[in-house]
Amino acid sequence: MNDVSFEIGARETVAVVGESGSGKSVTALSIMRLNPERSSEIKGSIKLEGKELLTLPDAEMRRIRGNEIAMIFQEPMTSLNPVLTIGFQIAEALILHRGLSRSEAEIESVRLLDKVRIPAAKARLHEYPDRFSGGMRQRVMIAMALACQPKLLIADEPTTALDVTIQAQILELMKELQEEEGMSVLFITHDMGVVAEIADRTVVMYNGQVVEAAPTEDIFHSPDHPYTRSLLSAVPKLGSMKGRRRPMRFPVVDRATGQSDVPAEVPDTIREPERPVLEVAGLTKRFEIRSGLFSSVKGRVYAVENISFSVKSGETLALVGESGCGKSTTGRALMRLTEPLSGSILLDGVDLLKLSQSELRKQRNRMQMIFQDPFASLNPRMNVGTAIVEPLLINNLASRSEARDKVADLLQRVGLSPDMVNRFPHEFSGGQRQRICIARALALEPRLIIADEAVSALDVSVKAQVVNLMLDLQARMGLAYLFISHDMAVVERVSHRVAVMYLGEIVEIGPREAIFQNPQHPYTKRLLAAVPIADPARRLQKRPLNNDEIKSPIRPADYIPPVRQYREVSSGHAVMIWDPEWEKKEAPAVAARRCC
Amino acid sequence: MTFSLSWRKNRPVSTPLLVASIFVLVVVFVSFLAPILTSVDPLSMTPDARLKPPSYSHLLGTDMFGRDILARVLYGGQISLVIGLATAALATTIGTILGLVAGAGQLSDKILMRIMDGMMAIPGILLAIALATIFGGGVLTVIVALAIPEVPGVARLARSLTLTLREQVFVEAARSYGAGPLRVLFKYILPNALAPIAVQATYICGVAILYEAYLSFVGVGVPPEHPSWGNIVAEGRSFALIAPHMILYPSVLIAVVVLAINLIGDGARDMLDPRFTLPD
Repeated sequence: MNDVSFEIGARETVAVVGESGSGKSVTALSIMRLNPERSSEIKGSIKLEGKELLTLPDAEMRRIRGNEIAMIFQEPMTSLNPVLTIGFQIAEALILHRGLSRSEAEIESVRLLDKVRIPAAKARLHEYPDRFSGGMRQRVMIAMALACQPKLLIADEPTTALDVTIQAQILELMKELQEEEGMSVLFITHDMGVVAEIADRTVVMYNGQVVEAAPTEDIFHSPDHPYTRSLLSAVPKLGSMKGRRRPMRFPVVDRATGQSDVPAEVPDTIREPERPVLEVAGLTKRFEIRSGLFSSVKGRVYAVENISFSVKSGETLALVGESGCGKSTTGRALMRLTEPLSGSILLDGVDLLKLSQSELRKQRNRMQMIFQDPFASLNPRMNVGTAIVEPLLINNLASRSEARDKVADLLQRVGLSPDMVNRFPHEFSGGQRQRICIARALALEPRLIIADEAVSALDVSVKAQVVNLMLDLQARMGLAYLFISHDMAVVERVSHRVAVMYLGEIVEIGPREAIFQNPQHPYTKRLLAAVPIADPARRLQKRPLNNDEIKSPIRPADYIPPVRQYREVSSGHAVMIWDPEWEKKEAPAVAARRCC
Repeated sequence: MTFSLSWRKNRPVSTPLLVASIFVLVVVFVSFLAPILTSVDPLSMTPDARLKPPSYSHLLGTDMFGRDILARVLYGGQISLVIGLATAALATTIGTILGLVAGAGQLSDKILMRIMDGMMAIPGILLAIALATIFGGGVLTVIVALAIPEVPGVARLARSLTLTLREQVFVEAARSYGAGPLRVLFKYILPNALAPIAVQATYICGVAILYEAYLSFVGVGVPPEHPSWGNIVAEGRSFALIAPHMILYPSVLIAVVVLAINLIGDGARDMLDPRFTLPD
């Protein structure tokens, strides 16, 4: 990081945005003087209300941390101590920094938990962190940060690990708290949508340098620097696909000049008259929870419950939902990486669930999977060439010499150079690794690819490139995709049809346009309303959000799943008839904001 | 969790690791070059020169039969080091195979690991003494007797690594493109488990050199016609007060070599530990 300058006014929110490795987190740590001393060197000046922080003695700096600058982190799961109650952890900060007595601290803790909108704060004070969900833990972290009424709150990717509806709640909470407490916020994020939602001013970082710093509206409407422009063009905007039927490539922007090509709609790839590649009917997967002396079944996770859908050749069906909704389990169950309880999976008319393991191995070649974390899905001890030919050699589809030519071809197809075959996964960047995984999946010439959050972990610009690659491959090879994702904006861009999952069930399925423009199920509406929109002008629309947590699909052992019925909204657009409990909760939200 | 067990490139080798490695290499070379370095037969007795302190003709003195201690220590190094390395190799090979098999299947896991638990309930050195007594003296016997008590530890390590690696996405990916259970085990799991097992092997090597001395001490170790550091010390203990040089050199060597081997293990572990990263 090099020569970074910006200032944050009182009561102002400044966002530092950039891709991984751009130095945005290092900036935050430097302000707190938390970088490892031996390996880093801070030069320049950091002033808090005119007081220079860099020359302060360590003891004085410790007082500043917590009292005047507080910090919240990305991982709410690991930033709380699991063996202490949350009440104790908040009180500790109060006793230490504000010198309250234990009983005063307890009263103050309840007030703080109330402030961050934790229901039944008093009762939950003596609970341990494992009883809190990710969103609730992040609220606790915020309560702890607020404990000493800091002047500046540094939030390092505070919502990145959270589900989109929870993210919306936390962002809303932070906005409200900032008004109430009158503090300044330095918000570090990679998500332009979040920036548009929350920041007054934005600092764009690239390669350890500030490339642009301006009021957020200016950044979004008239970005100066080519990098800012390329970053913005890669951000999918919910609602931008209105009136288009087919998926669309992301525009490709030259980083040096900022010139962008005009993205076109992809050609029509769906083979309508053919029988679908994949037909799933009544797929169900439950996990048993056993405990006690005789490990009796105490409950079951209804991970996937009676879902049915089909995917045609050349079609992309997106499976969307939040964590725990069963979308990844669906993908794994389709591959029989986890054995489904019942249902049928017809791949080109053959029921995979009726096959023996060895028959399955042959049949499954027509369906391949790419995973969220490309690094984790490559064997670290295997070079890239070997990794890509493995599927061919295992299935005796090529001799070693044929395989070598094939690797070169596959690497070129995914936009990599054939002379990379002898390198190992750690020598590649995240985007390149995902390309390698795609090449490996293509080796068997599958008809369907299950992409389980395949672009979710990638930086925006890389994400755009990989999505473009997937669209090109679909056009060229007639691939069908089952695109599992939580990212509604990307889904809108790439899919032909969308299925929304909630607690293991498909609550709504239909053509993409129908789902995004005319959502019926309350959950679909809530999901769409929660997506941050990369347009600061829309920020002032206050969102009525409920503070519901995501429910858990764990049910008692004697639970009998209700029989669901679907209503056809229009051709191909079906919605589950929902329980009456949705009505009373959702009514105000729907009235206030019809999506997009 | 990111699971990385590869050697970190560009990481400087720590000083203790470097010094220990060089020291062990020197000891290995000197021991195996013994026939060149000294012309004295470690077994030839000279009854006139018994229990002599170090002198020009016997640089480290002589023992109670007038044998040259320098020659005995050098040749003894061969036996001790071979026992250390062979024990480590044998124990890790058997242990790794058992651990992989246990980690791969549920039934094999239950059976194998209960046997391993049973073995772990017997103190290692007692088991080794019992085995060495039953099978009688000999270098091979000592190696087997020392290796068997070490097997459960390696098996547990290999099993836990297998269980962790089995859940890694790249293993799932391999299954999804058709890799069978054996291929998964040997091409995906084993290569990634080798590094921590190799670290464990260095510790076993050190322990084996030490235990070889124990076995000699209680009289069930390497027979006297093969000098080893252990049996040199064992023979010399009755003369410790009149001729301390007899046990001094082999004892110091055992201590320092075992220390060095452990330092190598520690250094290697630090380099392989995914949690230990140098800031960029």
